[in-house]
Amino acid sequence: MPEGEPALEVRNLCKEFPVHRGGILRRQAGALRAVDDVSFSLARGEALGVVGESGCGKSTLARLLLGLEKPTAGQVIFGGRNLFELNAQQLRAARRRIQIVLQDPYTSLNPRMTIGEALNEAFEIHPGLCPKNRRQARVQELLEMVGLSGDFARRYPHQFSGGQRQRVGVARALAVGPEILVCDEPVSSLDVSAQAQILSLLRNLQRELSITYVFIAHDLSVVRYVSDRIAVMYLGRIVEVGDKEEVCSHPSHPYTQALFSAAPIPDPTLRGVRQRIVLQGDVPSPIDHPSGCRFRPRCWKAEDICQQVEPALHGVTGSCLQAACHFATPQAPHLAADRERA
Amino acid sequence: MKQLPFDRRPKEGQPPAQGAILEVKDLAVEFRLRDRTVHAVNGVSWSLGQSETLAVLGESGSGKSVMAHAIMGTLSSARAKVTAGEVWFAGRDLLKMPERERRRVRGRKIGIIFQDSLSALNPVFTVSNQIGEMFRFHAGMPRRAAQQAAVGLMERVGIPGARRRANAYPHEFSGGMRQRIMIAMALALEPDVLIADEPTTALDVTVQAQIMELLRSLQQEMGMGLVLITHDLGVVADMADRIIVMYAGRAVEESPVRDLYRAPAHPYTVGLLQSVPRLDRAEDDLRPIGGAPPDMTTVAPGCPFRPRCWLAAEVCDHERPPLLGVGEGRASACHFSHAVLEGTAGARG
Repeated sequence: MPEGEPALEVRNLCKEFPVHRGGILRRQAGALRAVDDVSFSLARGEALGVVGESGCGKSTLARLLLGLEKPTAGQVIFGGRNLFELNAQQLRAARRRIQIVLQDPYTSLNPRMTIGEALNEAFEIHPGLCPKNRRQARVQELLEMVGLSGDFARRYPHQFSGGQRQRVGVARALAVGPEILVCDEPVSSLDVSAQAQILSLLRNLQRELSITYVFIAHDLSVVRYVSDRIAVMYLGRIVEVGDKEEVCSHPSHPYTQALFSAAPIPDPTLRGVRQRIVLQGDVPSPIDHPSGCRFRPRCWKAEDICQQVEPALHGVTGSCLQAACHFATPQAPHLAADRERA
Repeated sequence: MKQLPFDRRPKEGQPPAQGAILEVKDLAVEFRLRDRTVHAVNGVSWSLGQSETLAVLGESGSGKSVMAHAIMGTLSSARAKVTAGEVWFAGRDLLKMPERERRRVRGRKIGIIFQDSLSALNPVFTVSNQIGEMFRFHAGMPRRAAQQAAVGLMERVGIPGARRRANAYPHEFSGGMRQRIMIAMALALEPDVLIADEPTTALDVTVQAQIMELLRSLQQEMGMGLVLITHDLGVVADMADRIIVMYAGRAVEESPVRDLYRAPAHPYTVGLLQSVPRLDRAEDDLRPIGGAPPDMTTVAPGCPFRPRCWLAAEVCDHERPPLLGVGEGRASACHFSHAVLEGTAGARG
């Protein structure tokens, strides 16, 4: 881990949503644990990729990082202070420094505001950022930074294509000069060519502005492209985390291995050569998860201990990764292996 | 390399070449809106062989889904119109068939599955009822027998506890299970052709792998032809024998799958392949295609890819390149296809 004070630190973060049953007399019947004891720390300028399938809690994590959701337990430490202990004024100041790019920029832009007005709004909320007479020029600058022509400022969101709207989404986030950018599935609704444009843009911006990224996506190859480290989430927990090349070349948690083997790779010569682990069943409901290891019901390595003891995230022998599995073993994912299917 | 004639379209009104079970010729579809016309599909031709998997690859707006609906005769909007072309199946042109006859082909001989299984299934009928309807409607099976057959099919597509869950409603199933139900319906009558329109796009990766595996094994078992419509180069590499790349309502490249990934012959395909982040390689820079797809309401002369192409020359402005052969089973619609294929076209800027 790089030295110096971390740009962002997350400690034992938990978020539960109450689940109600019954009609008029709504009783709390249980709790959905969307994020369960998640901890990580990020150095300045580092990019952490968070990958997982639907329901793994990755979007709830994004909302927690921005303070849009109050956690059940845990802390998000930013600039030396816990985000959840700030008063309204301090929180506003903190939010200037931590921004988000959402999946669908169309629903996050006001259709009755021009792009210029939308960007300018950031300066109205944080007036100290840019003097009034400089604002118009700054808007042009921001648009050019994300690869749009400056005169797009006069247009409305519906006049843009999906890729262009996502560029606007990035420009809007950058307007306030954030130190941390949380991207929640920023390219998953885009076409291949627009996706590539946004991914290179994000990577170039990271290099130029040395912003710290939390990059959330379901697509492993996308996450690999933009991150330095990767965290794999399953049912609210980080099950494996570490250097991206190590996660990609020698994943050690069975879920990560399955995720890799299931991801289609655009190379027809790998057909029949790649090892393929086809998991049985779907991701179980996060409301009542199984005892012990929550991946156990779908895991081909499961033994008695997995039912009794929930594995904690720990260093994997012979690897620089951390994994939450009793039987974590690093293994190259792209080769055929004589492994039995679950 | 010698220029090969690629016009394997038989003369108009003639049944297709030997070996093809489904053949699309010069298909064109328009949407007539109040003030403009969208040219969604502009003269696409291809053929599907017995038990072959043909991938149709394209980005949104390339016309790939509209083409599927035109083949099935299920273009939903009254504004949509097939303006030209033929669709040959079992010795007959489906587009000239009366609706009553066509209905017997649809579902029975040619099945289709869509991306969004929740809106494709009827929410107020049980799943076994909907699967069984295929047997009742097409095969005239009595209700009880159809129900039995439906349960059998649910087992075959890998729905756990099929008998117990036969009377459940679509919303009670997960996305992956619903897609299995769609597949069960489409394959109920053992069709000769299955058209799968983005069958796994809405699913998680691990579930996508399950569904692809299922499609592959059912195809082998039943020997049907599969038209796989997708935007995902990874899925194509994994599943298909041949591929058609579509851009702006046209086929711009056609090739056996391995050849296309090894050496693409159209600049758009080159761009696409360099736009996908790779899981199997460390640190590869993406080289995105600049710009955006063209406005489909105007048909400009020249090559539709020209504004985004790094090879664009004057000829591309006023002459639309036809789909011409560039090698064994390969064709590309580019004035410089040979140079692109041989890698002598110059690097992308």
